[in-house]
Amino acid sequence: MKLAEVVNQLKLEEIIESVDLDREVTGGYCSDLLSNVMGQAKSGELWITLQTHQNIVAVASLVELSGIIIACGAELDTETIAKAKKEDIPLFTTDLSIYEVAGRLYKLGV
Amino acid sequence: MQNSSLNFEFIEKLSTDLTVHDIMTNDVITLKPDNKVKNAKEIMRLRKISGIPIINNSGELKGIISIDDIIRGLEENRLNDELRVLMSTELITIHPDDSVADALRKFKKYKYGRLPVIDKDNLLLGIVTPGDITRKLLEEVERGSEDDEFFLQIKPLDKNEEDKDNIQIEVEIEGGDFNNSGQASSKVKRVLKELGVDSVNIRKAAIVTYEAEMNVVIHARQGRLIAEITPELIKIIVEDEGPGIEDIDLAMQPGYSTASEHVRELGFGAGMGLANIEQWADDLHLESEVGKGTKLEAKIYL
Repeated sequence: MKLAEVVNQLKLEEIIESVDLDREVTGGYCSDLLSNVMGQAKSGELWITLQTHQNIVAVASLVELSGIIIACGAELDTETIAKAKKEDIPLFTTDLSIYEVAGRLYKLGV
Repeated sequence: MQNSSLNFEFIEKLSTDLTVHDIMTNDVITLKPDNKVKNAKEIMRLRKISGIPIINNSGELKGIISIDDIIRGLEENRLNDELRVLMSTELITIHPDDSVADALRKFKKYKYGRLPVIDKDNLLLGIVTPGDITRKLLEEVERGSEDDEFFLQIKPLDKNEEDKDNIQIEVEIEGGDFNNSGQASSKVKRVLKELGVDSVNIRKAAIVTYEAEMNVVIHARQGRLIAEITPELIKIIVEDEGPGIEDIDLAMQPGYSTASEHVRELGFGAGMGLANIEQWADDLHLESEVGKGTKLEAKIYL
């Protein structure tokens, strides 16, 4: 499923408008441990986390994730937004919990 | 800031990616076949150029007049002749979609100072000189530096012709600098991509370099990452000045961590780093001296 469709269905808030949403979401991954994402998430997956600092961008970029969803209405650091813009990593926020985001993604067939 | 040195592979990659269209001069001084040789001589003198394409009224390329032709004109006292009689008509041309590498090959082969760029209908679109190529390559390099893309050393390991495929990358890592963490790994990944390493091995290298880099950031004062890439393997060495590891076997155990609460809040320090490296590297060797530092050496076979 295209990222644009996911964003639309889950009503995610787009943090970086310039980013291209025409990329394929091949799955999802939930974790707040960066090493766990680094070691286990697969490229193309959409990462759901509560971590908001800029290191999440480096991980998403290295793993080539399709984007990061910050759940539970957590607020992003400004450095994180700047870095994601630079690295072209789609970044979203939502008031939904990690559980709810994952559940809805799963229901969508992601 | 580290010195950046550029390797042959980098230039080769750039010259294959860039097309003649990217580097050619569009605004070309041209003359018509019925212009006089003396006009060409004056324009060359005033504009300090060494060749002028000759086009007809439809813009089609008919020939080129070069300094050599002018000299011949002077010797034979033919300055009042029309250009059509002196111009070279056996032309080596190039197309806008051709790569800069193609242009370089033609310059080398034919030893001309310029190549007219034409479309499929022989219409003159521009001109390209070796100077244009040098300028563009320098621009690309400078642009890359601004993006912090090339503040790393990439150099062939050995000047030996047989070892020209071997590349070494060296990046400094600052302990405690969580703002720039991941940069060393990103640089290694970019180079591996440029070299055309397959995605599975790039991923392995990314995990190993990232975890090793983060260990330096989390625990050490400073360190450096060296990646050696040969056609057979990627060798990653990360050395640091730091507290060292008291019990390596214990440190290797998943879940064992000595990281601070602050570091854990950032999502690090879960005791997964070394375990990740061990899982994804084909070969791992750790040496450490308490109070001095740690040296990690990992290999990924290609």
